[in-house]
Amino acid sequence: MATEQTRKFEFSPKSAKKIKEIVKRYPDPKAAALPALWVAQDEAGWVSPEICTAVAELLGVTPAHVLGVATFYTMFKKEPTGRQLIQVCSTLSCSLMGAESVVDYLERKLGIKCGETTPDGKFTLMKVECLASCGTAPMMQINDDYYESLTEARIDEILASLE
Amino acid sequence: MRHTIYKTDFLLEGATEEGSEAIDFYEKQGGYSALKKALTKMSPEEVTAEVKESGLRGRGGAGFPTGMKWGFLAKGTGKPVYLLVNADESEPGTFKDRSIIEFRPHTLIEGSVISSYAIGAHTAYIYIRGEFVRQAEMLEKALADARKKGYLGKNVLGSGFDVEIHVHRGAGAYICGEETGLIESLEGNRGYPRLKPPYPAAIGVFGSPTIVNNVETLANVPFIIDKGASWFKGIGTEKSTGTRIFGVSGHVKRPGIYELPMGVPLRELLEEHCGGVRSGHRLKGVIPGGSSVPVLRADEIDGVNLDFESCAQAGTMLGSGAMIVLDDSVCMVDTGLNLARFYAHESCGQCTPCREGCWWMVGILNRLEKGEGRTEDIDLLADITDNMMFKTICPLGDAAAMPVESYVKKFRDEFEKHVTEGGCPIKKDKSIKVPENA
Amino acid sequence: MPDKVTITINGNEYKATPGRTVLQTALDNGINIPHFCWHPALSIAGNCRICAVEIEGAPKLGISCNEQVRDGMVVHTESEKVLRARASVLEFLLINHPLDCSVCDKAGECTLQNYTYEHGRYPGCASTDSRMTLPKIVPTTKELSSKIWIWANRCIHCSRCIRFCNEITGTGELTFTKRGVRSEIDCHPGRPIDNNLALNVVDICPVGALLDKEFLYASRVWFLDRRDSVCPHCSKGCNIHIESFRNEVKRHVPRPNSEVNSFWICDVGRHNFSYYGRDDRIRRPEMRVDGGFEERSRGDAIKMIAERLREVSGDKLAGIGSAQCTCEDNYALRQLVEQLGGKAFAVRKTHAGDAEKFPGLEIEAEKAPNSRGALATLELGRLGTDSLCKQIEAGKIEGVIALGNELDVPLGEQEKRALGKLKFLLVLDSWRSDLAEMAHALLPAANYSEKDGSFVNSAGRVQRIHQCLIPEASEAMSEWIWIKRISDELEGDWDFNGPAGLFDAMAKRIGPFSGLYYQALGETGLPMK
Repeated sequence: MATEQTRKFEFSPKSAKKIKEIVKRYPDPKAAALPALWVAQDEAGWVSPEICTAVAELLGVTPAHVLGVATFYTMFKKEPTGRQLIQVCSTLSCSLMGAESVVDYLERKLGIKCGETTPDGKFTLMKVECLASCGTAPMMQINDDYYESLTEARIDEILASLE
Repeated sequence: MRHTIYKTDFLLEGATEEGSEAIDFYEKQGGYSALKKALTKMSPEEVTAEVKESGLRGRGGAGFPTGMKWGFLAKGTGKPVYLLVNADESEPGTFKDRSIIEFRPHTLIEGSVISSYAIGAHTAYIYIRGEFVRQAEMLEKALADARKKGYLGKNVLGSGFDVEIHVHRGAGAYICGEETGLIESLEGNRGYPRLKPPYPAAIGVFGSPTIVNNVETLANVPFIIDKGASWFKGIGTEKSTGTRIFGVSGHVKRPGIYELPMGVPLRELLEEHCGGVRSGHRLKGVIPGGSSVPVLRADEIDGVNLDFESCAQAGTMLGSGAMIVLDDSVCMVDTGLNLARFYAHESCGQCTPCREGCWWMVGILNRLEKGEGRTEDIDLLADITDNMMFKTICPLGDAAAMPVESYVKKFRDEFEKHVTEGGCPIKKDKSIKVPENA
Repeated sequence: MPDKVTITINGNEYKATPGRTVLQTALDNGINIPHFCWHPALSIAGNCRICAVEIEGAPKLGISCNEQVRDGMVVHTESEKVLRARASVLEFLLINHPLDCSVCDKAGECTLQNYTYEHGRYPGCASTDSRMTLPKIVPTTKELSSKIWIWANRCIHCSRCIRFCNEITGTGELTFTKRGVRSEIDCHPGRPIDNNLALNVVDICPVGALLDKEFLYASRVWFLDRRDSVCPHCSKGCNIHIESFRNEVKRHVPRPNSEVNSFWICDVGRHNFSYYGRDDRIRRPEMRVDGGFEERSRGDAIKMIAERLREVSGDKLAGIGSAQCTCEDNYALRQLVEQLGGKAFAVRKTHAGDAEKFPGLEIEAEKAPNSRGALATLELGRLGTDSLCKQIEAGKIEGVIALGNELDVPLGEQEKRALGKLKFLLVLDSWRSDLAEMAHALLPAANYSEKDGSFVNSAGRVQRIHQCLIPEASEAMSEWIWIKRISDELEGDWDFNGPAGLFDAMAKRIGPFSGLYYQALGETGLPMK
């Protein structure tokens, strides 16, 4: 059932200031919802219900509204993930070029199934939809960076280079 | 990605060179002279007239005449006008706007400022998909450089015209590439497309008249202003003018970016530019304009040119100009399943036919591919696509239904074999492939 | 005011008001285009797609809820294309909808059920078998708040509940979460939907997704006997249906009235069953004897009361009306007191609670249904017994006939002193209130659910209530019936037949009611002058 919130999320002064600046770009503070959630996720690593409440207060909307927004968009994480979030594109063009084999290879190499995180908390593996990299398929996005034209050898190189 | 830009024309000129994204590089090519011309020698109405005359059509997928769209702006509302740049590029197969943002961002910036001037917008937002993190950073840098040189901000080039451009990042939702889904998302809501009417040109973002244009569309504007509508009309075909940045992917020898005049024969792009289907395989089908358009069988591509009219006549669409090439190692049921999963994942869920129909199609295609399909499933699939099309709030329902409908229609025997043979009859090749390249 | 336009629906011409939609115009004219997400009091969502119609000149079907009428428009609502589209929407909705009808509260008043029965078969198709044979998606069933259950697997995603919380209550507790076919209605975990109008979402939910916890499994709706009434819990006068089964109230639901409560009632009124099934119900006439009360038969009680009243008649007799009783009860009281020569009247102060202002409904602070009616009937300027009590204490008043029926209104100190001094106090009450305990004679009265009559709300609107229950195992009757019997015993000659007669007589005599007729009050009432 709906529970009382016991923990309140407070933005760091830096983040709060950033959001206040962002709000100025729009005639309606509600429009800063996505940018504010990005700032929050960059700070906290994922978007919790408490963060939704904190963002709601800053923008003058209801917590339910922010919860609805946060859960609509794929990139706002509903739970923490590993330090390196590996997202393998699996839509048609990448699939034609072997995306399933990329996923299989990563599953074997990391010892986890798609959707899981390695026990040391380093890697989370996920399949995602088209990342607009179709001419350099197959490819994956790890955190903020694209890694294109993958082969098994390239994958080994990339994983080794990440902390 | 730079190394996969194989053919450039005016839009991507110089994009293969290191540093092509820099503002100095662009200025040396003559960049921002069109902006000077527009602001000092032309009225906003004249700019719009030039764009209209050029026949420029939207490069997002719908191909609506750009000048005409600007003309629909509601006037005298007392509300500010907004320009929204659609950089949400999420249509499977499409990666052309990326090439502009990463390697020629100033064509977009200059085009946005000129277009804002034309429509009377003093604020523009570039809605860029959330996954384009680095690309958004590049855009911010390019905007900062342009601002420093007085190409945007207050009193642009001393003309008295003010315009501010902000980058607004999405967060992973294909539906936010639909113009009213984009507007809703920009307003800080779930990206639910709106009912039309009213159209954005009348009531758009923040209740104000709004124009939403694709990245590539706006990138064309400086060239039209600089060299004139007649020049632009001389490229391409009569009704589809200018060039198109084609993005080719799939089973060709050389997938990548090809900027070519509109109307180039499909076969020419496929064989001459991309080197044809990969060795040891035969062509099975081509999806000419992004995943949402009907497929063309190998025996249907002769005589099809890559412009809006020719593709429409062939029963498909030019769409986003993203060509996906399928060879004989591809199963059409599997392809349908892959795309159905995409649309089911991306459907916003607002309206009944799309929300339920996409999911149902996934289930049936999955069952067929696993070999558990029944004979009725094939007609059922066709019926579901018919019940989804033209009955939804936005075109995502059509985009999901149309490809599957075309696969069932054009590859029916393959679907039937899945039932009669109790499994997939195609020898699929799911290995990691490296294009033979140039 | 723009001129009306002419549109053609299914071959017939209709006049339509510009600014209204095809759906509204069709419904106005009795053409029942099915619709889930559209609601007359909420913004247009256009997401269910079942109201789609064919409009000549348009390339595809248009949703009638969002289609403005235009002069010369030609609409077809029953063509094969439209019937196919309708059936397809129902088919789509049912593929993940559980086959719960036999255990679902909404059965019998479920729009999905009704539409599937009427529109669910494809034209020319006799089969009713489902074509969907995949495992269904089963999202959560859980408590959405202390008052509301959600069976999310039944939800058809019409978004009415969300729009209600945004537009009618302004509290915004509900949202869709997730996306696509996985999307679900939910609250933020720290902010459940607990506002005082929350349960209206149960009414407007077209299916059994949102359910009232109190009514869960309480009754099958087709067994319920439904009567029109008015909520007695504040002076707003929200129109309600009282629904009962075998003389027991099972629930209250709102009754639409565009002049009063739109489509809504508050949760307090909806769940307040404090009038029903009370242990402290007075069942038979009682007379005070040393050390308590003794029951009497009706006939005996009336004779005794009449005798006692003769002793305090004239200007020593006064009447205390009640803001909880009908206009007719209060008028009957007036008739009797005047018949016996009395002139003094008062109405007790009502309980003051909290007012609550929502964008779509304002709940009044005064927690009684008929203070305006009681005051108007007795031609008093204000509530309060203070001046009457002074008269009693000064010995000028020796007898009082008082109407009770009041919840939460204990006697004040002054009232206790004054009433204690009376030679004769006749009380007509439903339960053993403070007032009843002070009576010399006590007659069991019916409460609002057990009588016909009228209330006047805070805005001066006169509205009908209808009898729904029979007082159980008791001799309780409406106050006006007791009063008429007493009057007859005292050879009175007023000859009014029932509440209608009382009301019409009152309307002839009392200014604010002039021009009104009981039979003309109809379902939604009429304003006083």
